[in-house]
Amino acid sequence: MLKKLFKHEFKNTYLEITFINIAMIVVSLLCALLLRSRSSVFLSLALITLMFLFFGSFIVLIMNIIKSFNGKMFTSEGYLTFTLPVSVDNILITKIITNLIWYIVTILSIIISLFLIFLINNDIIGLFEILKHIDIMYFPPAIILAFISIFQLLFFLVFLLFTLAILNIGKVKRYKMLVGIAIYFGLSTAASWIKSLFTVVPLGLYFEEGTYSIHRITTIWNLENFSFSFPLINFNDLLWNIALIIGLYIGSRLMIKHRLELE
Amino acid sequence: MEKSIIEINNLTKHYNQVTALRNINLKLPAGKIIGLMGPNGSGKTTFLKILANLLMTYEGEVLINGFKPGVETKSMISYLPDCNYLSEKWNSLDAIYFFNDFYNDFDPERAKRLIQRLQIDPFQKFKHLSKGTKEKVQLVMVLSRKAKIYLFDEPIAGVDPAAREFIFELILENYNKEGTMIVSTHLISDIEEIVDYAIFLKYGTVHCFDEAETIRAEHGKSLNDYFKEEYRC
Repeated sequence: MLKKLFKHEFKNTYLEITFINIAMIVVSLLCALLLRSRSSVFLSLALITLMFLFFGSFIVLIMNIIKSFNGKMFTSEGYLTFTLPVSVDNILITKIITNLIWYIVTILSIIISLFLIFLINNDIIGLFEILKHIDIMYFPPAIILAFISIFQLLFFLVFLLFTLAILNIGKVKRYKMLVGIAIYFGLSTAASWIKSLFTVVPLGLYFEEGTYSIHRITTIWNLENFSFSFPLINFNDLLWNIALIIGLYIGSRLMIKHRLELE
Repeated sequence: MEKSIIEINNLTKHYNQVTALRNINLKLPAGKIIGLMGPNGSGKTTFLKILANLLMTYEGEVLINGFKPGVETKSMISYLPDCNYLSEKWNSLDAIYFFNDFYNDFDPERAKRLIQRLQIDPFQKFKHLSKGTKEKVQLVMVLSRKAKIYLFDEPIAGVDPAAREFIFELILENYNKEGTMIVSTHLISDIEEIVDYAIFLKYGTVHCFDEAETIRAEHGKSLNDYFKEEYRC
């Protein structure tokens, strides 16, 4: 059943995201070609369009998440969603993972778009030359950073789910969007404040000059070459985020199971 | 009484300060049509939502074919709420595809036949269909399942009298005859002739539950007249 839930979740959400991701790649190709031809008027137009598409893709993602969570669970469509022979956990996990995948796909599309502009305006041999100079030792830290970013996205999605669940049980009908934004920022401010009050593990994983080390978190500024060292993993933030993801998920689940108010 | 498919013991449901259902005890027989009757606010929708597992917290015990409401019971219940629950982006074929994926007892061929019989364009998006046509598509989806239990919440509330007769014809023709059907309504006269049993709810309690024939014989009047007399303002 989980497989079927995923299939229908993707089917319900793919259209706008696929369109904007394809548009990004097409416009970036156009930008790259215009950059070659040095056509400044059309180039600036294409670049502005590309910037709008980058920005728009995140708006589309947020709208999709709201549609997927709110539209399918907390409106009259919830009557169908919650009478399917699947558990509430299956429904929630499917929605969270699907939206997470769309986020990753969109970020990859942006990277591919930028890469295409670069690729078309540099010969492929030149690109390999650049890649050859990138030390392999920087790949593991990059992967760690990618995982941390995915984790932050997961945190954001669960936070949004929790906000929408509160909106649902609060039976907010007027100015729903504004109230939702207020709840979201209110809760995230409260979470940051609590995190700053209780430092559980003040340690971080650092990567400096090819070696990994774990030590107390300090921001070291080097004014000579304008660099600063920051932790690859801030264990305190990581632990708090894990706790908050679990807490917010359980909270959302409890609200749905105990206080679901369908339109 | 015959073998019961739904057993309810001391069921109470509160919404904040309001008690929607109060100490309900019922054993509903399998394979029968049961009318759930009562005025607005008597607890009919709450009762059906608990059976459909849309309301998951309540006091007391509910057993459906021996199971507490959950994933197992949802696979045996075909539920028609009193609102439109199909995505506006879908057309009838999308809905058939969706139901066919999730319900093992769904018959897509029957659904297509019924859609055709009702002269609904299967490719037309629901956002372009009238409210009545959307309701018909929902009814088709619910009836195309060979479910153990059918729950209909006010299936004729917003329908004109001519269409009501047709809807009941459709329901009676197409539901699984071995299954149990619970129909909630306050339009008693429309379902008077088809119900085997009747539950009358009043202020969240069971005012009367018996075979329709017994109620008629005991009180010497139709269910409709009984309802009018008992619920007179």
